[in-house]
Amino acid sequence: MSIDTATAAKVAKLARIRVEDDELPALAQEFNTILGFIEQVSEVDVDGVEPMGSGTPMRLKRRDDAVSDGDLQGKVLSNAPDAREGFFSVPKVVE
Amino acid sequence: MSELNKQTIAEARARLRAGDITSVELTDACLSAIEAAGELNAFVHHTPEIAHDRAKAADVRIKAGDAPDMCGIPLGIKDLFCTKGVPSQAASGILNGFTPEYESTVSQNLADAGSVMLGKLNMDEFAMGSSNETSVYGNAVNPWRAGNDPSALTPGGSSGGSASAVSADLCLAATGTDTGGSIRQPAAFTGITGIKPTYGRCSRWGIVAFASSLDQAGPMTKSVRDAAIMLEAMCGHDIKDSTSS
Repeated sequence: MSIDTATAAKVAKLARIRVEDDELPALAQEFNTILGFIEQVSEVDVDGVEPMGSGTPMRLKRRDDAVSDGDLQGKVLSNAPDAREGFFSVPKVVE
Repeated sequence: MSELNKQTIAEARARLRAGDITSVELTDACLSAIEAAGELNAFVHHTPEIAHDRAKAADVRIKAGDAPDMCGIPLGIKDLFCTKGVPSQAASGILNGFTPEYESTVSQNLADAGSVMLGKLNMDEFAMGSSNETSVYGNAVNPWRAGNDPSALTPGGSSGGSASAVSADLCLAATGTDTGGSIRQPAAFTGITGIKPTYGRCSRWGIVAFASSLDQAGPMTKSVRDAAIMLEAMCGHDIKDSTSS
């Protein structure tokens, strides 16, 4: 798989990062280098190898699924720049 | 009396228990030292009222014979720890004006043990740095100089304010945090003792996270013995941090 400048431009747009046209070929090349490394890793033979998620076979401790506090609305909102009617108030972002 | 702030925790503990000195005297000595050391830019939020209240309470406890090891010991707290009602902004402008409604488990453990909080200490912004030059409060400065060269040196980082404050005897000890060297490296740069405890030894609850599976809080002190005394008071299992033990 190879990334062309059009794909690089699309990724940049989706990531909300402005990239000038003359910098797109270099960005596409960097993507290709990364993908090339991933391809290299996938060449490793892992047949019969158990997946390992952690070096220590321990399950994370869990606490009882019970309510331990609450009624902290005032405290939770005390640092909000703007709070109304018990909610965080933020500028409208969706038209 | 002006030398009280230069003691180790172990020395101060013995003298407090023997009634030679009071926590209020010890705290005042540290507050004066802090006032005279503004150039180091180590303490960035001062809490003398809290310090006095806790020192008085500690003196009452010590008199009553209920004196845990850290009782009456004045400490500095790294700005990464959330402290109730006291600005906690991880040396970042993003958190400017944030005053937590809660106390981090480590600073609460230290408070429960009777220790005295003098204020909050400078650090690299969000603990991301190794020279304390990325702080919104400005650089922290190492109290040491290279021979007769007057140039200001870095105390290291990210716990640069903690290292500078302990090295300059502004407090008897300070809290630090270490993700990739942030206690060990500044401790080395300033000639003090610091330890990054085993992951899970101290609760991370209430500490602004950098890399959650690597962050650990630890003591920054003037001696190995002090580090042991302070770590004992900081550590322990906390139900709010499932990785603590």
